[in-house]
Amino acid sequence: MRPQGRGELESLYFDYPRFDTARVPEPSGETVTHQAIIVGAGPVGLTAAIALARYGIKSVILEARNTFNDGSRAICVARSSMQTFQQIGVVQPFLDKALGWTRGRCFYSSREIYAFDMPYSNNDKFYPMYNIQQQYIERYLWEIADQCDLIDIRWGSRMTQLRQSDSAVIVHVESDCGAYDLQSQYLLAADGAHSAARKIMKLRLQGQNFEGRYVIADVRAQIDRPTERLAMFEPKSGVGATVLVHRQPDNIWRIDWQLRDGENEEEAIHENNIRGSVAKVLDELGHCGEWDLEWWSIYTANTLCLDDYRHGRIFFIGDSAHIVPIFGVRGLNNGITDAHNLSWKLAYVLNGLAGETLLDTYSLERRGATLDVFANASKSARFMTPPTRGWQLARHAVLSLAVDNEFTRPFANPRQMHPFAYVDRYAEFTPVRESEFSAGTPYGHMCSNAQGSDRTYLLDFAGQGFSGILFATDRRDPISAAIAQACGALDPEFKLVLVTDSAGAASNNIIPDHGGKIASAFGAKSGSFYLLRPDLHVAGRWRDAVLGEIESALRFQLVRPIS
Amino acid sequence: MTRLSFGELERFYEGLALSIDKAGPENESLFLAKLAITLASRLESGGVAQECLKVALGEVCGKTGRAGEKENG
Repeated sequence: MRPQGRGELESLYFDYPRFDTARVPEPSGETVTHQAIIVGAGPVGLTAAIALARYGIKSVILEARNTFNDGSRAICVARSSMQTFQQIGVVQPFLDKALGWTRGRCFYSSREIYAFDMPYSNNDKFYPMYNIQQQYIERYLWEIADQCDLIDIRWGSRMTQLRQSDSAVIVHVESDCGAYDLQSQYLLAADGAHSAARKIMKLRLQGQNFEGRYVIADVRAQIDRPTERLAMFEPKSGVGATVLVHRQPDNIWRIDWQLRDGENEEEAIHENNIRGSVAKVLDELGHCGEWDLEWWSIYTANTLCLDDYRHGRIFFIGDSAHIVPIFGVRGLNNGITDAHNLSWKLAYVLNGLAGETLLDTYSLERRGATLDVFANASKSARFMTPPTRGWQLARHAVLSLAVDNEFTRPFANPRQMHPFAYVDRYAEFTPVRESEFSAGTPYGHMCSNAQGSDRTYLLDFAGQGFSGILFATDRRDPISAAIAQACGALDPEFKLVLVTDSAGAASNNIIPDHGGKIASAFGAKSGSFYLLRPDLHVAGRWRDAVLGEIESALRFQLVRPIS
Repeated sequence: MTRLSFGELERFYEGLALSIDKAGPENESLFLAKLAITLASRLESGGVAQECLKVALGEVCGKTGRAGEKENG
């Protein structure tokens, strides 16, 4: 909602473009089978299209709206999402605009009770978290997608029917310019919480709703405070039981507060009441200057997901597949990871490099990530929005004790996101070599970054396809050529990176590790090898590289016969 | 004396919240007082019980040994 007198898209700081509705492109009589249709041009759909294009896969994006999203308002982009953006070549505008942060602070009745710093060291290229408005995320991704010949974005085009056969998906598209059928090998439903694809297929999200209701408001104000997450429990302003404050670019502040029990929802979101509450929160933050109200909405915490993210040739990615509470900032971030996870797999299948059943691992891995969020979500939702007298009193007690005592302070931990590890899947491929390591990123986890002695970052050298990291004393180590040849035969995009104990500057995929800091962080010695997937999750590691096993590990990843 | 881990303390917190609801608004204070006396009776030292009274009243800080534990987000 916007203040009275302002149009639906009349923002204080962001110009919403208006895209023309796509003309009806399919002449009657001619049937083209596209490689992929993506429903939804939000951050998740655009990420998928760009990722697919990196592997030469064409896609058609259908978007019912004629501009960027105004309803969904994610603001926190996690390090793992920045890493994904880098992998697909779109990270720079995010680095230029977004506000990085590491610290969260919690207050109880205006007294600071707890502060946490998320892990951040010289080895990290990206901050643990960045704040940026969803409109910018969409704009930056759109700018890249729009320039790409392989991506056909059709604005103002609504999918109204959807069916599939053994060999294709057929959708019916309606727009102001007419209606037509569209055929594709695969369809990715990135159409959000109110997914049309889900409705047409009569699929239901399963899970639970929590009772707490939050108001979300964006306010423009010049406030001299660093970018950090502020959580105010039982604030003196009395606005709500919990208030969250985040800084965004352009002097925009996100203020979330929990409605109190019995508080009337319709009354609470009336503009005058929103203004009254915002004024009190700003006062508590010590801001006494001017401010403008940009936008507000209301929100309820849910943990809901589909039983399977794959239905034949149709895949659900992002909010269409799962709804998670805002507190862990996993909605957008898990959606971005879904998009990347599915895209590289789909591209490998379409390019004939991987077996079709690789696509089944998408749901297995990404639904696992959602269930992991659920495991923590009910705990954090009960703390952030205590549902009954018992939970309220217990929360009150631990927060009150936390003013002077350390022992209850960790209750205020927001349990924010960390990339999910795909460990279950690897159970099939015996990680015999895992026990040889005493340090470094284990099987299934997203690979940690590291800095070479010339200050370059290791993961900057990862390729679009599978990557190998070989620790070597000699650049002409014979095994490096053998690995490059064997893996390159299976994956033409395979890229081998050498980490050597030499000094100097990085060149030709050789990273200098003078002093051996990377090697020690990875638990590696000369001859050690890590195999990374296109999404940078570790697909295998060997203290002493064994060519045959490396080749088998890559075949396992691509679901190709292991000899 | 070994202390509860944070995970165990959290489980107790959850049980406490549910038990307060179970006791109901009229019996809430009585339930909490009974709980405090039951816990105190299982302590090994009367001094600790006296100190806990002061911690809960906000008169002293509880020595907990949990300080220095770093939060990792």
